[in-house]
Amino acid sequence: MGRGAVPTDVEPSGAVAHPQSSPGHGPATARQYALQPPGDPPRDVDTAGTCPKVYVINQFTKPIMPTTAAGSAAAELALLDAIAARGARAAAHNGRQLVWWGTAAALLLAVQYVAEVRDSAPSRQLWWWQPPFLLGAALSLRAVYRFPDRRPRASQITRIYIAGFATAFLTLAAYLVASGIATGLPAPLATVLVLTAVLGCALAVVGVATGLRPLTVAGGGWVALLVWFATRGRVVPSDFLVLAAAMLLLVAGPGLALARRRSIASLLGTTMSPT
Amino acid sequence: MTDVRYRDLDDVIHGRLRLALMAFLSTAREAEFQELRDLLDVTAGNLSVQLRTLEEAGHVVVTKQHRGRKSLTTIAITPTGDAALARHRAQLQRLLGLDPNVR
Repeated sequence: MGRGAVPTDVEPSGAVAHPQSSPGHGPATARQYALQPPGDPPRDVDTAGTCPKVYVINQFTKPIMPTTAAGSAAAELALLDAIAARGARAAAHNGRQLVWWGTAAALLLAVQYVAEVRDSAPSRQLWWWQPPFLLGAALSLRAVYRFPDRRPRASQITRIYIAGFATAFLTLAAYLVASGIATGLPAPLATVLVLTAVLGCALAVVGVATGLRPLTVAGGGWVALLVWFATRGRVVPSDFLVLAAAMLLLVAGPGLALARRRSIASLLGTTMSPT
Repeated sequence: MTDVRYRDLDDVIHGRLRLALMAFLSTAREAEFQELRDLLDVTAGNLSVQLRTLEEAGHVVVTKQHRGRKSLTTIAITPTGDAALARHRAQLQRLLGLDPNVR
């Protein structure tokens, strides 16, 4: 790898007095990383012959003046990890929202199952919690982005996320209200099929459009559940528990996967503690 | 030398700012121009140059939208970018695993 073959970064203005980012000088920040002076390629290492490994490591380590190349490579990767972690947090709020609503829906479905089997409330009234719940979930999609440190609402991921899930929640709520008003009680099998189809489509579409793969996988899970219910052709009370489990696994689960995304450091298996 | 193929390191990703951009986008998936500029504390021109390099390599997709007087530029990582970053990580992993005490 000759010097001429390596693209050279345009460094940020004012990069001369960059902050110390060596181990033991406070937490690493993305800004420190960006402000490091040019090291691409290093000027004092011959890349043509004897020790290309030193060259490559120095690509990452030279500016922070480590005691050992490997230790400084870990420090450099820690800086990258800080950046990746920041990126994970940017997307993680989507995950947290799914965790909240998926868990809440699972709990309410479990309560409804208990009420059904114990006959502690009329069946014709038990479903009424669902439309307000869905409406609340749809409204919260917009409201949650008003908090600071959230991804801007104008962002493409945010818009796709809000549009996809708000459409799904409102469609389900509208179906339940229309069906409930028309017949007094939404038909169980039709409701389950609509629920699984709408959630499956929403998760799959949002997942594919945003590249958030856990959502795509969860969408496939809901579609599989749809096929299972359609094939069986009936709904029994214990299906409330099946749906509650699905809410945990296929709504809260992918949310948790997004919120707990692994960083570059963990992918590399590198110790991120400064050495 | 061993089986570490340092020549396989992706020159496009290997640049500092570009690697930082890819690291952020690998987890965020998509970001706004302003967000990246603030994160890395770089000038708009510098960021544009780096993004163009990544875009030409197919690692990111830059989308510009106009809403009245305001413009919104979003940057998203592509599957190609994901794969390239994964290869780069693997190379680094092999590299670090060779001899941690090399000076």
